[in-house]
Amino acid sequence: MNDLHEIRTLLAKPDPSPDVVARRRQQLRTSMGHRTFRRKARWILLPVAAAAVAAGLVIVPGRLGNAPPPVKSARDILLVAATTAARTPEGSGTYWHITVTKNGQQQAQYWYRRDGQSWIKGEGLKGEGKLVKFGRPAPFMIGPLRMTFEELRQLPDDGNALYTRLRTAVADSDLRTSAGPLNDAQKDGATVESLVSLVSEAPVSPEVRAAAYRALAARPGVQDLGDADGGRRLQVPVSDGTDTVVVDPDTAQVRNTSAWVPLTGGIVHTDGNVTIDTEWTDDLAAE
Amino acid sequence: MTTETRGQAGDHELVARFRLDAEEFTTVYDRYFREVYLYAAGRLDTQAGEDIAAETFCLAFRDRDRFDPARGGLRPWLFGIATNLVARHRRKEARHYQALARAGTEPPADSHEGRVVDAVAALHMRPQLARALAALNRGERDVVTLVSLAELTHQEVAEALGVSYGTVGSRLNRARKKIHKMMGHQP
Repeated sequence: MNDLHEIRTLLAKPDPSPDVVARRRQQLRTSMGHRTFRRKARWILLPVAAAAVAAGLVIVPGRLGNAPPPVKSARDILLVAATTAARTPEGSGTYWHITVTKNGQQQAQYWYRRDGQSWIKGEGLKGEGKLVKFGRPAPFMIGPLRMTFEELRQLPDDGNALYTRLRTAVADSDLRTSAGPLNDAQKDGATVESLVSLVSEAPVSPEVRAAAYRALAARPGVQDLGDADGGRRLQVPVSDGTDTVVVDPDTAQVRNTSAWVPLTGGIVHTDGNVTIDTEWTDDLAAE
Repeated sequence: MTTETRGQAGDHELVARFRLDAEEFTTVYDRYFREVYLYAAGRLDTQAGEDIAAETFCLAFRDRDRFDPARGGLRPWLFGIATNLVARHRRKEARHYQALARAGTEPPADSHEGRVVDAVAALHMRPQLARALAALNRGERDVVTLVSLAELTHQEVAEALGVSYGTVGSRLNRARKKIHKMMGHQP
């Protein structure tokens, strides 16, 4: 006889009720008390960068001291990108498919269903190159904010209204650093992070993506740092300083970067040039 | 590239996420509360199991910075905490097994037709099995229940209890011999 199996049967109890699960979850949240928003710890994501990746903004660490003088304003570049984004058809499908290409080689793919369920596929990821259903349906991480697909689709398509909506969400979200609640400048920066997330990776409509570019164009402190391979380097104020985003105004995409913000949150750095492509598709990889 | 089980790979990301943003720790709860609950409730009862499972996650959150992925996985770490909490209720656990021994002929709720024969055969064993569990020492019972109820691997049990891999195997062997003996089987 299989005594271990019998012990399991003997001691089996019914699953906890949803009420118990919810009540005890609340107890945990209460015991967690002050939430800490530890942006400074973002490097910890490095070992799991590939697993966390979902899409792409691009933040190049500040190593661009020899950037050529700007030839046009960041505002102009972002407005061109907004126009491009608005006229780029979104396509249709069941899955939001994100492809991460590193140094010209396809590295990882991600599929998000509208309910937030995701699948991943890539060498070195969970599944080792095979398609794997990843976790359970979860809200999309838009910079520091969490949003359902429906919330993403209901964002305003006017730049100012979009900024106001995101800024309010940041203010209401109880984000903190180890030094306490975010100050106004940090809240502005966190809002910019969510805007950059929208233009690079999130499954939003072309109109909302365009609005995000316009909102970025209107932000003080966004500066053009000159040409990059694949686009223009733009310095943007974020919650803990500034970062550099590479935007291609001709495709309204982010490309050839060494870092980006995935849909799962955080900021990921890699050692190569990473380009992120997105599309709607009906097909999960057939493996 | 390392070879990892899917659970470990997922847990690595989970750990990275709650270190980045402590609020993400609720994801750990969402992933493991049920398992820890069923483990603790299986050894004690549903009320104590619920209390222990909840306390496990509160303690794990409090001590989250002490969790060292190099020393083992997230899941064994949680079960280690839960096992220490169960140990505070040794008498309750013994009473639970005695109660199971007395009520041992109650058919399992999920007994399907096709399993009736198996279930009937198993039912006759249940009182002895419950008494055998009560007769194990703490270390043996921890290993047996972590393997059978929580379905941890030997390596995970070693990590959960902070003992060597070999100790897990020897405790399990000893426990199974005791169980077989009490149930009238040859080892």
